[in-house]
Amino acid sequence: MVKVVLENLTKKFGNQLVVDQVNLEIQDKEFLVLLGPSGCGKTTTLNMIAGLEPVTSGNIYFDENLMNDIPAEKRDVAMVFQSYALYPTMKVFDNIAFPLVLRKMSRNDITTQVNMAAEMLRIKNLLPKKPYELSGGERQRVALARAVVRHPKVFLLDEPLSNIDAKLRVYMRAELIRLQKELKTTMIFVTHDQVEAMSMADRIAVMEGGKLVQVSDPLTIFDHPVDQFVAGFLGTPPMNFIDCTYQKKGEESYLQLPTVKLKIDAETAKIIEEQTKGQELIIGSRPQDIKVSQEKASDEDFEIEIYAVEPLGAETVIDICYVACGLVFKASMAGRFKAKIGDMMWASLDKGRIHIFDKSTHKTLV
Amino acid sequence: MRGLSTQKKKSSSSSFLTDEKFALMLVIPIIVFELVLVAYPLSYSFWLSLNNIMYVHRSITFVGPSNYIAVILDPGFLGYLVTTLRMTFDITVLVILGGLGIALLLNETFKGRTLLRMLVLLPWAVSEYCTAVIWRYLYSENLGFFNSFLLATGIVKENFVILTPQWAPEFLSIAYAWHYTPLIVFFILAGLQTVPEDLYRAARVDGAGAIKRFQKITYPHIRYAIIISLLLASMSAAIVTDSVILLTGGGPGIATSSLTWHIYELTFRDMEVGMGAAYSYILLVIMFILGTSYFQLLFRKRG
Amino acid sequence: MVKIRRVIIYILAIIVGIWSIIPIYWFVNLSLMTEQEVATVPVHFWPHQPTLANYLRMLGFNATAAVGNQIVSFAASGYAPAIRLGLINSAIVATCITAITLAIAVPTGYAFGRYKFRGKNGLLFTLLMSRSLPAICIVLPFYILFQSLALLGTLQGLIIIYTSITIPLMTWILMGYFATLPIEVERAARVDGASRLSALRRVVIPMAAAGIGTVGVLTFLISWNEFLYAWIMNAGTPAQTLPPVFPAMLFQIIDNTGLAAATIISLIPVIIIALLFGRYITRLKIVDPVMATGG
Repeated sequence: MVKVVLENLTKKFGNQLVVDQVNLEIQDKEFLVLLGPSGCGKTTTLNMIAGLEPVTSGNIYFDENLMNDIPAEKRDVAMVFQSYALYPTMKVFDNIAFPLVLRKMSRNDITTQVNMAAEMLRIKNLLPKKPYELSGGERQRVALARAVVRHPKVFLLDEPLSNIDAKLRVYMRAELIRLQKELKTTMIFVTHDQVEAMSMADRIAVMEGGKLVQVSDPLTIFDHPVDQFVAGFLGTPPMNFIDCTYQKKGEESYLQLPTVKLKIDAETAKIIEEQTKGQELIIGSRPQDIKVSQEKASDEDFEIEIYAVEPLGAETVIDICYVACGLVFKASMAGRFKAKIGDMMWASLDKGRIHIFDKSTHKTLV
Repeated sequence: MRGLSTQKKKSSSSSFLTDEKFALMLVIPIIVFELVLVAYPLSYSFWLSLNNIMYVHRSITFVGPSNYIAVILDPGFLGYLVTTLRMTFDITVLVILGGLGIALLLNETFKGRTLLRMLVLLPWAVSEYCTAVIWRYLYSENLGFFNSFLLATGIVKENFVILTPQWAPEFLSIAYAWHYTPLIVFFILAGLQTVPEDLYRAARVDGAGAIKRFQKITYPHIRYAIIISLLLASMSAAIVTDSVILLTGGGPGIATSSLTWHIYELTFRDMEVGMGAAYSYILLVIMFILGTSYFQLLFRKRG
Repeated sequence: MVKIRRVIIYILAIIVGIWSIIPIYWFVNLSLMTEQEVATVPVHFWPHQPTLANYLRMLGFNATAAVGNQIVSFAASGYAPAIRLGLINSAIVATCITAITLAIAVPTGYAFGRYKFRGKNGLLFTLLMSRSLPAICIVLPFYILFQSLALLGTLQGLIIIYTSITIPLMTWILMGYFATLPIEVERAARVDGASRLSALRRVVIPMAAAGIGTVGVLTFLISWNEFLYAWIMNAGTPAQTLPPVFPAMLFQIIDNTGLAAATIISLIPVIIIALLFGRYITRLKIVDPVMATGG
């Protein structure tokens, strides 16, 4: 029930800069997801919040308290690890009771609390068992129960769903959200899976190369990514990118693609001109925003060859090859779409939904 | 402003026990203990080596490096060195080849393998001094196994001496190798077991014979274990003492008088403490050089 | 082709098995014979009139045995008191060493195996080097020191010297072992509120029970089997352990079958331990500790 503030948080391992000046404010009772590819520094950041890694520079605050010098065992955070990290020599009951035993609670109180936590996670029947007897999903519940039993200030989770099979994962996602709302704790969740992030987070903090790139609620990040990396990271299938150049002929502005010109309105043109001097741009278009059809519908359609077809039932994902330049895009069409490999068709981009990036900085312009 | 707010929990960094401090806390006491138990004998021994000590007269006369000079000029010195080198060589060869062979054998699956592993471990569990006593009797003319066996099978007509001046070093080496090999066996075996079975299958499918398979698959995986074994074995072999004392007593004659045996002789039989200390120190230097090369090799492998 | 391979393997296995056991077998053989029977040429390969008389003699009892058609009686050996004393003292020393070594090597091995710290390599080096000193080179300084400290010929003195041998070795082994344990479990304990020491005690050590037990067994074996210090420092004193009896039996009054029996007696604990715990000892991987902690 605590607000966590990271101020210019930096971590170096020897000469390697792993976390670079991260500034982040996590609100009380918020479900925040730290999202990023492997090696981006998200786990290290989490470990610093937990107190398992010392901070190279910068500050960590819980509410108004500076936590930098407080050792992990005194920080009152709960953490669930990717491997669950259950104590293998203890029964499930003792695993869950461990944090309470350390606090020297009375035997009766411990039993009550443990049963309550086991009840909440629906693992009461597992209490007398040992970790090696449990399945992956069961172990994870025990890890959660162990974290829950202390009513911690902050709840940290390090890719807890990565080791669970796909079907159970979907189920656990909902469980975790429900749990967080019930407990009313601040939850910081680390993952590289953007689907998890999108489905669970109140806000997502995207990290890359040790830096915090964008922090916002899921839909905002999806619709308005701050740069090409974020745009390409979120959304499945991922966004397609193609180089283009900006051209102005009199009053009309265009984006020049290999074979077609996309006309853009004055407002967009103004933004582009204001933000960048260069003409080299990148267009990003999500697969859902690309329409493939047998006939050419407008002058802004370009010719493509069907590369691969994935009929997924509710939608069809088509790999299309832009003939003129050889780039392969993924397009997603709702329902069933009839196409064979090798067919020649036409693709059109939904102009209202394209993203335009500066080629040199990779930052979003529009 | 957040950064300026303070509260009573502003702990000083000295109270934050870092990983490093904790580790050092655990480690320092033992290091101190060891340093004392190593530094003391080393320095005292060095001092002794610079003196001429006569128990009879209870005199200690400082003679500087004259003991060391006496060692170098001692006609027997070369002999002790050669004997030591010879036995070190014998033992190392036996232990590495035997260890490798037995490890390869134990790596195969066959019925009774667990039993064999137990049996192979036994010689190592038997102490070095018991090994020496046992093998002394094995080699004995009248009570020995080898004599009785050869006699019973008619290969020889009467009991004979096995521990001759020419061959005693080799027989001593065999006895010590019997005791030491299991250590190397299990060391190499651990390395062998890191080789994934699939590699062998793929090689067999590709048509590789047993020797090729060993060369290309097995050897690279155990190369490191073998190198370490070589160093461990040779270092152990160079300082074999218990066996020499109880099996051959340095003999017959001076056939098995290694450097360590001579140090024992000098120090505890002839009471030539100063000389004994000088010899000790020379041996210590040799062992130190060997030991540091071992450490270097361990570390250079890490890149 | 495969069949031949199988046969060769079995033949080799038998040869290796025999090689490993024959020396011990020979002494068992000798120990079950009377001095009279042993005098035959060639010596019998199994006792024709097996008897436990030698064992009884060496442990201090009078015994009788059949020799030919007669019953001969044997008096208790003069070595028996030393053997009995040696068994007790060796047991005491070995137990103490094991307890002390584990108490020290476990946390130290843990520190080396888990953490990086300044001077780690240097300290490791010191630890290792203290192991490679040949005993014979440093016996005399200790002899003189212990003489002045009245530790010569005491069990305490021997315990001090042995621990200086076993602690570095066991720390080295445990270091590799601890490095293989999952670190996240330790981290979980810290986050749950355990200090590092608490986590070590309540979580890590129980997890490491198998490795620690094996190291304990190894330590016991090493102390039980040590000869040089035991002989030079404690021979002839009330704190004499078992090993010094043997040079006496070899060089003073010779009693062949008695010696064989005494050897087997001293080997019995060793063999029991090897049979019971051999499995664990062979599985203890001597992991390269430098690599395990990333240097």
